[in-house]
Amino acid sequence: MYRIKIDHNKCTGCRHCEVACSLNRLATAVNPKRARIRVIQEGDRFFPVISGPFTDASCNIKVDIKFGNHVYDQCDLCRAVCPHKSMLFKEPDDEKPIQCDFCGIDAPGPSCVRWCTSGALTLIEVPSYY
Amino acid sequence: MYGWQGKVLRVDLSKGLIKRENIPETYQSYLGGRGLATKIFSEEVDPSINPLSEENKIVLATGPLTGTGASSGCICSIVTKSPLTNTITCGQAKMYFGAEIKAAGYDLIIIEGKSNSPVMLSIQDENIELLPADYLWGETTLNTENAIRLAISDPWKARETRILSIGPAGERAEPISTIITDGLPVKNGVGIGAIFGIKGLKAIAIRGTRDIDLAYGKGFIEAVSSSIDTLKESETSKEFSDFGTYLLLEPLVKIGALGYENFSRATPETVFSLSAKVFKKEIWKRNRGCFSCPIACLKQTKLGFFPEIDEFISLGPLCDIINPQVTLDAYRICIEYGLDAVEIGATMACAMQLQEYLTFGKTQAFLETIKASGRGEEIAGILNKGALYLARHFKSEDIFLGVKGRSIPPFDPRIIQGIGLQYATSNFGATHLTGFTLIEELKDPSSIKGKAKLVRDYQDRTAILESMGICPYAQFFLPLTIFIEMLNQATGLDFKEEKILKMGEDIYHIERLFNTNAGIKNEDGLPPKMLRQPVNGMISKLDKMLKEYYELRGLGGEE
Ligand code: SF4
Ligand code: SF4
Ligand code: SF4
Repeated sequence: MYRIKIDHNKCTGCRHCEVACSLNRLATAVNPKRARIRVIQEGDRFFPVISGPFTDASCNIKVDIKFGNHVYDQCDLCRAVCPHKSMLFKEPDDEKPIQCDFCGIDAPGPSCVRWCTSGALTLIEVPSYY
Repeated sequence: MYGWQGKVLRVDLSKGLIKRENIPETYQSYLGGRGLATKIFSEEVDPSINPLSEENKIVLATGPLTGTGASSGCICSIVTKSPLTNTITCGQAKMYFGAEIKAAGYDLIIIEGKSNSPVMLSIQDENIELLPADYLWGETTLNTENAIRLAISDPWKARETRILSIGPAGERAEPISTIITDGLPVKNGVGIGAIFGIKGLKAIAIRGTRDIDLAYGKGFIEAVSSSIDTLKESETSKEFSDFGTYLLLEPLVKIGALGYENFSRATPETVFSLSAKVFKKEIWKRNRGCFSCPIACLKQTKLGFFPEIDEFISLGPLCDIINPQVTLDAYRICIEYGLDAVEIGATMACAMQLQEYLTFGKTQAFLETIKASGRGEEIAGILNKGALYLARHFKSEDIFLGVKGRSIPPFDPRIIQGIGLQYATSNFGATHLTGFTLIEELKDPSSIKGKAKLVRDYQDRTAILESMGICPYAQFFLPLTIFIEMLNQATGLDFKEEKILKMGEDIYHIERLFNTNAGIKNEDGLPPKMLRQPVNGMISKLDKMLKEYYELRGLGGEE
């Protein structure tokens, strides 16, 4: 079982993963706004977020998480394709949801991981889901 | 069209008119970015104009690789006539701004005319507006970015909006003002802020959702992947990611090439306490990469970006400030008010040497003075016109160390020979940024053998990378051929290295011709001090290199 491990301490905010994902998906075009991974900046940190399932309603409870000294809105880090997050993980023209399909785990691995040089995204193998 | 978007946005601030045009036919001969912008600018603008007059224009230009995901393809070049040097000049906006222009569907934005009241240019794909910006006038660049984002009702769209803005120094059209995007100064941007200011253009805010089409997606992926593999294998590239331009700090200190106290004394021991390893441990929080840059050489601190080495030395040892925290504070003020760190550092160093207002090494006064000049208090009238103006004001022109009205960066051309030739022959006044030979010259700083060719090659390669839309730092680790491959895969055209290098040379000549027509002749030189007053027994042997350089460039000596 493969998983993508995200280490936001290493993320430089370069958004090469967004480009890679969109290029893999669109084949002959680039468009980070249509990528299935988006890099969210919060203060001086970057959170690469890989899109998850579509939901037609947003949560009615808002949650704050504290990491270190900084309080984050959980919505900013959540993967759902959700109305609360406006255009995020939606096609810019018709707003169809965009979901990660964990593209090509065979060599050279998922496109986003392949172009992430900082080590923020890595592909790891685990025995199974826990 | 592949790679390019094929569209130019022409904004006439006098009439409030915005037009969408096709990219000029010559685009394949100049690619885009610095090359195409220079071509357009030199055709549309009379070189003899006063830079602060209404006739001056600003051309913002991305290249065919900007925003495509090509490694380090983040560059938006900004060409205008500079009030500091009276020459043509070209700044490089890094971070995400260039990629966003491309995503909005444009290659170039041409700004002309002058608005009577402050405005902001807002671009959302096809929706383009000139909005009143009175409420932003007088604000620092960081407040401006925040206020613009806050005014956008959708917070997610606000996050994705990229902003280029001037600070109060630019508003006052001061020659040493620069422009800021995402909290990072536009590299080589000195003087450009003033043109935005005089035109009443406080900021450009842009968000785009369009595709950039590529001719051969698969081939492009392979080319970019191979560049990433090359970088991963290179030790120096890893060091550059870790330390950025500070890779140069120790070697430069060791050979005594750092400008200390306005180049008036050899570097003392105290400077040895500055160490990139210590910065990394104590001040830097993480590496930051511009759009699609696998190198990520910029450094994030708690207080925004850490200055790059040229800015650090100018706001540090050049003024005898040996305290990175103070330098960081000073840099932060420069960013907020939109002052160019290198020129203000050099100007203050001159004031210190003259013992006017300031004294070497006095941190409190140093910080207060930068702030005062940012705010536009009385002292700004003297400092914010640059070091040459200051030196003349105090009738001590010999204290000014610069070329074509712009101070030399804090790397001593007596110790490192080639960089002196670069200062002398740069079309934008003294800068190392258009011919960054420093890393390569560390092997043999004092030799002049082959330096003319080295400088020429770096100048042409830099010009061409900036025309493609690639960060010039990438050339330290990746060969030009790899970018030509990306260019060909992206555009579907077949550019050859020889032709590409020839374009680099053409760009240099167009810039130079513009300057000649602007009345700048016989100014390829270095300050007399660098030619006559030795440091560690060394002077610059500029004459010999210059002769060789003119031959290489096919210039018949001085016109
Ligand atoms: S490519 Fe890696 S370092 Fe760059 S933004 Fe994506 S996750 Fe972060
Ligand atoms: S795994 Fe593939 S589809 Fe999923 S985010 Fe990464 S590149 Fe995109
Ligand atoms: S090398 Fe540094 S400055 Fe250039 S694009 Fe990369 S991160 Fe930005």
